[in-house]
Parts: sequence; C-alpha cells; structure tokens
Amino acid sequence: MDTQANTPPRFRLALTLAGLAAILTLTLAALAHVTHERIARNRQAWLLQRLDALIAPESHDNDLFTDRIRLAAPDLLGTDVPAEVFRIRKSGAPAGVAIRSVVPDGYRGPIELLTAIRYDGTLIGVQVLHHNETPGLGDAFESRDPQWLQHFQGLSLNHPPQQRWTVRKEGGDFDAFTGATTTPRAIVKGVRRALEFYAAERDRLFTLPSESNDD
Amino acid sequence: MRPSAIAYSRCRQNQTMTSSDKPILEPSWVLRAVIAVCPFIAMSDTVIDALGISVAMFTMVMISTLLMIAVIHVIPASGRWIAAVLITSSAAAAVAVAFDAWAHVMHDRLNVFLAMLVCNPVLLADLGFAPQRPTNLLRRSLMRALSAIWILVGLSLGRELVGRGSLLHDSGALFGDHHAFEIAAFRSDMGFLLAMLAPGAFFAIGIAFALYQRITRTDKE
Repeated sequence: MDTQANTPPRFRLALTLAGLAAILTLTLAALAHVTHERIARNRQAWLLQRLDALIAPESHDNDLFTDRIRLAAPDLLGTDVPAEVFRIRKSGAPAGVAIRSVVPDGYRGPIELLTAIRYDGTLIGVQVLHHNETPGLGDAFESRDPQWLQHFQGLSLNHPPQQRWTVRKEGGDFDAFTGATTTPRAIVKGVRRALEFYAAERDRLFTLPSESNDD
Repeated sequence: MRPSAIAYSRCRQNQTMTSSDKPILEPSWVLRAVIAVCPFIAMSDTVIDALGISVAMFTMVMISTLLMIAVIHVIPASGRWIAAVLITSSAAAAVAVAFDAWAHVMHDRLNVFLAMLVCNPVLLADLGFAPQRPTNLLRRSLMRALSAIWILVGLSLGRELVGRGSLLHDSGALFGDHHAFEIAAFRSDMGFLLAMLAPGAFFAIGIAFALYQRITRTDKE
C-alpha cells in the first residue's frame, strides 16, 4: 500500500498520464491516416457491389459512382443530409436512377435503402444497405425471406394504387414478416417515398452537374 | 459499517451453510467467461458474428495487456486505472479502425459492439490492478479472453444450427466473398426461430449451464 511518503506528486502523475494519452492519440491518428484511403476504397467497393447487384451492367454505360449528385429532400428521403442519387445512362440518354434514402421509422432505428428506378418510373429493385432491425424477426428480408425485396420489381407509383402501398393486414399488397410488421411497413413506405421523390424531381435529376468523387 | 449490516454479517457468520445457501455455480472460469460474454450475446446468433467479435475481443485484450505491461513501471499504482481506461479505449478504437480497413462488412455488423469492448470489467479488470509480474498478467488476460471466446463460439454453433439449420452463414463478411462457404443442415425457414432471437441466447446459456453442472457433478461422483 502506498504511504504518504512514497506517493508521487499529483502533477507528476498527471504529466505521465497526459504523456500516455498523447502517445496513444498520435498512434491512433497515424493508424487512421494509414488506413484512410483503404477504408474509402472499401466503402466505395461495397456500394458499387450493391449497385451492380441491382442494376444490370448491360443496362448502362456510364460510371454510376462518379455520375452522382446529392439532393436534400428530408420529407421524402428521410434525412437532413443531402441524399446520394446515382444516375443510370445508356449512350448518353437517361435510363434511370438509384436513390440512397433513409426510412426513419424502422422498429429499431433508421433503415437505409438503395432504390433503383427506371426512367419511366418503374422499380428496378430495392436493397437494404443498413439496418438495426431485430435479428430473426425484423431482418427476415435478408435471412428467412430473402425473396421479399424482389416483390418491388416492376412496381410504380400507380401500380399498385397509393392505398395499397402497405402490408396486407392494413389492406395493402405486401406481406409482413412473422412477428414483425413495423419493418416491412417502414420499407414499403420508404420505397414509395423514393418513387414520389423521383416523380417530382425526374427532369432536374439528369441535368444537374455531377459532384466530384471526394469520399 | 451500519449496525444493521454488522448484525447481518454476524448472523451470517454464525449460520452453518446448508446446501440451499450454496451458490448454484461457483465463481469458476465458466461463470466469469459467461458474464464477460453477456454484453456481446446478440453477436452469438451466427458463428461468423461470434468469430468476428471474438477476433476483435482477443486483439483488443492482448493489445491492452501488452501496452499495460509496457507502461506498468512508469505509472504509479494510483494512476493505473486511468492508464487502463486510456489504453483499453485506444485499443478498441484501433481494432475498430483495423476492422473498417480490412473487414469492412464485419465492421458494419459489429457496429456498437466494438465500442462496448471497452467496458467489459471481467476481461479488463486485471489491467487496473496490474500485478508486477508481466507474465502473470499476460497469462490471465489470455485465459480470460480465450474462455470468453470459447463460450461465445460454442453458443453461436448451437444457436445457428438450431435457429437456421446452417453453420458459417454469410462467412464472406469475415473471410471475403471469394472464400465464402456455408454448411447447410436443413432449410433456414425450418429452423427454430427462438434460437435466433435474443431470449434464445439466454436459453442457450441456461442449457449450457445445466450441461456443465451435469458433467462436473458426474466427474466428482
């Protein structure tokens, strides 16, 4: 046990701990610096993988990742941060978009969606990018029922009509998951809103200049 | 000490311990490991998730221990807890950055659990009271991390097999898509759903406890 006599002065202890904190901070900063580019590449590759899974390579001849814009539409895209919109073009002509939106009302927090839409407003497909839904229940779209997201293919704002854009138990056209209604209802709502955003902004989406690839 | 507490303490000393007073489980390495695993119980639904958090846990505990050993003679005893907090939080941050760089998908899946590694008193308590012999500290950290991993991976094997009829589902998240493989025992929709839910993890712990008790009692007999 320390006695009063051999207890080091407090300022010396504070100095030692501050030195340790400084060394640890510098080491972490160095690690972050070294891995920064790799992490950015990883994120880009991860997103491209999801875009490629949704949009057939033969349906476009532009670089989806660089031909993108950001637009703020908090009411429809669920986020105050400008949402990414990837434009699909074939021989210079607009062929559709992929919209990265957020559904704020998932069961356990926001659900991030990637919704691909043809130029005529029909859905190419939907992917869930991030979610915190209950494992085994709310995440059925990626475990128990991976076909569920494919039901969106070919749908549009008018097909089905607006009142049927919800789960079956509320008179809609979409199956709920066993033990989880909130999650599918939220996803359906998020996809519908992405379609509404596209319908409202379609002409503007293809004329805005691409942003620089800075992340 | 308050008078009531003293009276209670004396009363307890005078009592003969009966079988009903004995704890169900002695504070063995199994109990410690289970308590250490509890914050990460949600990551035991699949083997890959359990392996992911296990790699993170092992790396973080070993980095923290080695760093503590490196500074043990520089930091006075009164400052060791603060040093331990600084070191463990830095180690957890380093592990999170490394996962983001080399296992991005797993990084996203581990999410908040990577940060939660810092506040695991069972795994990290020794660092704050670091003994002077580094080999002891290293051995104890190693054993605690390995026993926690053993429990976590064991739980995940049972839960994934019963819950979705597979092993190593979504292994691409840890090994990369080119090395992904999965062992399927039966269709995932035929699985026992409860095993995949959070309560299923605690049922699995209960069954594991019962089995452990059964085995150790049989050994003693």
